[in-house]
Amino acid sequence: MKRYVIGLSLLSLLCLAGCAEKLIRVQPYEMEHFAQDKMQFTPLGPRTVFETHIYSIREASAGGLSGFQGGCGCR
Amino acid sequence: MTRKILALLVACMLLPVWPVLADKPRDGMSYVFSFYGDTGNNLVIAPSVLLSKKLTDTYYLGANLGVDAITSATKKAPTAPAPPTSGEEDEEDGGAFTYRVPLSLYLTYDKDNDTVTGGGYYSYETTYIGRSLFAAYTRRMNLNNTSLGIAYSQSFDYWIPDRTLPTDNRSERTLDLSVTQLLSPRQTVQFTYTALRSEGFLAQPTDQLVEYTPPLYAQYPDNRKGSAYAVRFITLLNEPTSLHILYRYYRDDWHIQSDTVNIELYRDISTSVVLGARYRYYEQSAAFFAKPLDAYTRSDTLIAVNYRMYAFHSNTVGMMAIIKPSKSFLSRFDADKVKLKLSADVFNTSSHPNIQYQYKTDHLTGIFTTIALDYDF
Repeated sequence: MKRYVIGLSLLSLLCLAGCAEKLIRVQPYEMEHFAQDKMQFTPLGPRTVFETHIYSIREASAGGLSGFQGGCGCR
Repeated sequence: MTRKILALLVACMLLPVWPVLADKPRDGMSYVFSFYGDTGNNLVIAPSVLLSKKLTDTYYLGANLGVDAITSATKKAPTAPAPPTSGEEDEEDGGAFTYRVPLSLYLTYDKDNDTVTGGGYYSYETTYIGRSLFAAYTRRMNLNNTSLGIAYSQSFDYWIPDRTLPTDNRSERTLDLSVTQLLSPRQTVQFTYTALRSEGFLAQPTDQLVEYTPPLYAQYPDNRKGSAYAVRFITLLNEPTSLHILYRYYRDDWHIQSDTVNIELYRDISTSVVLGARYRYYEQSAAFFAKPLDAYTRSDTLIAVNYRMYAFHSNTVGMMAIIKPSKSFLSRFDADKVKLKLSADVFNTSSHPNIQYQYKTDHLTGIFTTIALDYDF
């Protein structure tokens, strides 16, 4: 697991330090589509929160969705 | 039952304006009503109010208050010598609501390319107290083409059980690392890694094998380390249609591995309506201590009863809608600031003998819906 964390950290450092220009793929005047609801990572935020909670009760997996879930006695 | 649901609906209409942990700072409020029900006689009714208020140019105060009415959460364990006919609850327990009151408060600092959020969470239910602290930092760079995120949460939960447990504590730590990158004016991708650590009493205190006298209760290892790796991709197929694809791989030291695939399609039907459809597939393997229920003996120190510790798969299909009311319909409000978000999903698990044992049905079919009304100040 540590190597994944290290890999992700190195990738982040690369973004921060070196290859910034190559990562500018979209100019500010080209970003109109990303303002639309259907282009958001969570177009329906409340549904995402609720279903994440439901799945945490019904399944044994969690994580990967970068969202906070408080503890409860359902699990 | 109908009367209770109606009473709860009325109660949540009376709730004053309260709050949410949003993805990005928002100056507005949401009123959310969520519902879950399944063939195992489990029911959750969860109204909540979310508020994120801009205090200054850089600071936002947020809060989220809800009331969850639950018929299946932390059930009262049957007292000996009255074991029910299954490991779950009897019919009377299944129809009785327990209540959970979750509250979270957080403060967000947002300036230029940096967003920092810190806050706390507290929830109360009769047999469980949830307490957490969380913090998140997001850094935008490369003309907003790249975003790096790190989030951490630590819980200090504890059970208030009806029977003596090895420990009443349960704590969970979660670390999220994410990278989001725009690929083109029509495509974006996000990678997320999550490290999860759990300690304490991690089973359900009420899960039990009732064929034994006294019953054998579920007992899991007292710690767990898990990792999740996810990639999300969004592309604009054409001007009115976008496609969302998620893949997540999870594994932990209980030998549970899972794969999750989620596909969503959104389409602008008109200037005021977006419709969506989704399909989700989930599959997991069994924990190393999961055995057929009739194979457990009193000498077993680890016992799994709930089907979640066994291999199964599930499918979910759903529909979503985002509606911006017309200006004529909301003549007294600024219609551009109001959105109604609706969703309804049906999920279906594969058949499993433990589901039959606990819920008296060979598989679970559930429906969950969310109605959210967003208003931006």
